[in-house]
Amino acid sequence: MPPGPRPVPQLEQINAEIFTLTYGSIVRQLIADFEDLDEVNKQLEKMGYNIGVRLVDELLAKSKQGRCSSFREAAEVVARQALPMFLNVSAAVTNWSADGTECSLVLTDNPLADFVELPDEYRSLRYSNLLPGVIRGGLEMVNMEVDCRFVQDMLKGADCYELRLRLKEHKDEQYPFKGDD
Amino acid sequence: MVCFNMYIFDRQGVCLHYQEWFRPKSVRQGAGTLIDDQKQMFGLFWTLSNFAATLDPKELSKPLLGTPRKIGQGCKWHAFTSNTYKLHFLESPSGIKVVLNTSPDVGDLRDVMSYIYDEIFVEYVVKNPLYTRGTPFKIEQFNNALNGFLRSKGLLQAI
Repeated sequence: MPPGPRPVPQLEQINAEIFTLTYGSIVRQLIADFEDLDEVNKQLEKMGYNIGVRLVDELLAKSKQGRCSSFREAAEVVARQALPMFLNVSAAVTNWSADGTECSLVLTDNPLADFVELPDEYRSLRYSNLLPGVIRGGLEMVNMEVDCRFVQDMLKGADCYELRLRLKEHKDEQYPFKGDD
Repeated sequence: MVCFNMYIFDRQGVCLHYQEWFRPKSVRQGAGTLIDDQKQMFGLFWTLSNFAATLDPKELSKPLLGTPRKIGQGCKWHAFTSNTYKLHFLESPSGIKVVLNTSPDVGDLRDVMSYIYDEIFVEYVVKNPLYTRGTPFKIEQFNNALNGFLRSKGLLQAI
């Protein structure tokens, strides 16, 4: 790997407003379909997971990223390569826990939630819950089981978006065929 | 310079794609059935990767042969040559393994393998909305792009 910050690869671009408005209409439709906000949160996370498992191959292909040797390195790749590449936002990795299994990804800007105002009755809705799902799906494909959730949300009055990323298990390579001779 | 066949496996050992261009010794004389042949291939890489990690001369803390290997640990091998064929291997961090068997006179095909993964597999398979991850696929555009690319590299000349 060449030393120094790696350039972020360029991908096909779409209009940011179309993206934001499409996401907004997905959330509205989910609310109309499910009505229970917890269920909507779960569905958004699940959708994000499905996106993440496919997105990781594209990330690996376009950024020619090799294997990350640790969770720390993986978190840096998510913040420095993946988020800028796909969402054009930069994120910082901060607040590492003492044993290196938890960290925070701080984003100052979130294209999913542009132009959005969250009314009081939707306080328990995690509007951008797709994003933690994507990160969870992507990292699971490289055998790191993580738990990812928003702890600060600008739609609820905080001054930035903060995702808390916690490593549950760093799995080993496993031979999939059981008892093969 | 000839390509004999190609396999694509995922982390679970499912052979997602198998394509052959030239295989004079039939599968029945070798492994028996195509499924066994694919399982044997998978076992081969598995063992070779473990072996390569254990024998790495630059690694400070070497894993013992037989112990479970953490992801990202150990070096990676990319090809082996015999007197009749050369086997090229590429493993992505997400567990997708691309294997290409060619005649022994081809050079280093690492860029070719990366191109197959980056531009052909990701473009036509991963991005295909009708494809369920983890199942074998038959995608026309993938085959066409692959054949076109290998032909342009001069790797599909008949023996």
